[in-house]
Amino acid sequence: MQVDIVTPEKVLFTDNDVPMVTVPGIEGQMGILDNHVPIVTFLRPGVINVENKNSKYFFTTGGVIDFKNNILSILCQDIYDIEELTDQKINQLKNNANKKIKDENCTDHEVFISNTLIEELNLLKSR
Amino acid sequence: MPSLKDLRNRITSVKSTQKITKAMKMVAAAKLRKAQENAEKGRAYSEKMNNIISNLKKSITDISSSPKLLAGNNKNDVHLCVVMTADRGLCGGFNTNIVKKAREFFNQIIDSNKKLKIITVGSKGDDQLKRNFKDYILERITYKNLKNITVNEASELTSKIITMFNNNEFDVCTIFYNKFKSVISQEPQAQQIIPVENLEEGDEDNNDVQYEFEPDESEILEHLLPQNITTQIFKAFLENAASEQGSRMSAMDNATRNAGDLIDKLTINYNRSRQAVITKELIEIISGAESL
Repeated sequence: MQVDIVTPEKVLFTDNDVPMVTVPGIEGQMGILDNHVPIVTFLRPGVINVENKNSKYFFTTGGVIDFKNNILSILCQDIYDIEELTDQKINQLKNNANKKIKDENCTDHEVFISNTLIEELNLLKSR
Repeated sequence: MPSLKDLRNRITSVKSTQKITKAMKMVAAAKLRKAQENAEKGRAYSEKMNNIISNLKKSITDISSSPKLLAGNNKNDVHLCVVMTADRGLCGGFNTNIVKKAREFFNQIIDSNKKLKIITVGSKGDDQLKRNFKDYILERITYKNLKNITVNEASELTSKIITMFNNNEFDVCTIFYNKFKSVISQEPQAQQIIPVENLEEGDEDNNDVQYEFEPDESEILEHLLPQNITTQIFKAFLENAASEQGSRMSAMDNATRNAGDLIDKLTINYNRSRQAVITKELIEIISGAESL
C-alpha cells in the first residue's frame, strides 16, 4: 500500500510499498494492512510505525488518517521523525501540554489529549 | 530645450533606477522560487483535507443536524470578509487587484442592506480600504516583522474567526486572496469558508466507497472543520506569498525594460544636442574667419 505523511508545510514521507502501518487511533492502537476497509479516524498522540524494509518511527501530537484504495494518507500538524526528536523538543512539547491542562477554558477532550501526550513523551524518553 | 548637463543628469538617474529595479527583480525571482515550492508542497495537505471533508459531507444525510461551521446558521445577514494583501508595495497590480475584487463584493453587501465586517491582513490592503470602508474594519493584522508565515499564524487567525462565529458576530465568512497561476498571471479569489461552500470534487469515481468512521461522522466533522479552515487560510497565505513575488518580479522586469527604453531615447537626444552644439561652434568659427 502507499503511505503519505503530510503536514501543512510539506510531504514528510512517502512510500508506495509498505506492508503494514501501526497508528495510535483515537479508539486504540490500530494496525493497517493492505486492503483494509476505507476508514477515516483521528489519531491521539503517539508513535506511528511504518514497517517497510527499514521500519520508520514517527511521533505525532495528533492528526487524521484516511485510508482508501490502498492509499493511506496521514495528515498531521505536528509530526517528527523519532531519530530527529531531541530531548529539548520533547521537553518543549511537554511544557506546552502542561500549560494547556492548566488553562481553564480547556475542554475535557483537550485535557485527555494533553495527558496522553505527556504519557507518550515520558515513554519515549525512557526508551 | 534641456541643456547637455540636464540630459546627462537624467541619464544617470534613470540608470540608477534601472539598477534598483533589476536588483529587486533578482531578489523577487529568488524568493519566488522558494514561495512557489512552499505553495506546491502545501497543496497536498489541503487537497487531502478537502477529500476527507467532501467524503464526510456525502455520508451525512441530515444536513440540518450537522455542525454549524458546515451548514451555516441559516442566516445571511452579517458578512465577515478577510482581505489578505501584502505588506510591501512595488508589486504591480497585486494589492490593487485583491482590493478591487473585495470592494465590488463590499458594495454589493452594502447595497443589499446587509451588515459588513472586515479584517485586513497586510498593511497595503488596509491603506487602500480605509479610505472608503474605514468604519467597517474591525481589525488590522500585519506580519511585517515575520520572515515567513507559518501554520501558527493561520491557526491564530482561525481561532479568532471561530470565536467570533460562536458568539454569533457574523453569519458568512469570505476570504480574499490571489491565487498563483503562473509568474505572469495571478487571479484574485473570493472564497467562502463559513459555511463550507461546495468543495471542488476530488475524485468522482470513488463515490460509492463506504467509509468507516471512528468516532462517528459528526464528531469527526466537529474537530476537523476548524482544522480545515486553518488549512484553507494557510493555503491562501502560501498562494498569496507566491503571487506577491511573481507579481513583483514581472513588475520589476517591466520597469527595468522601460528604464532601458528611456535611456536609449535620452541618449539619442543627448547625442543630437551635442552634435548641434558642435555644428554651431563650427559655424561660428568659420563665419568669424570669413569676416576677417
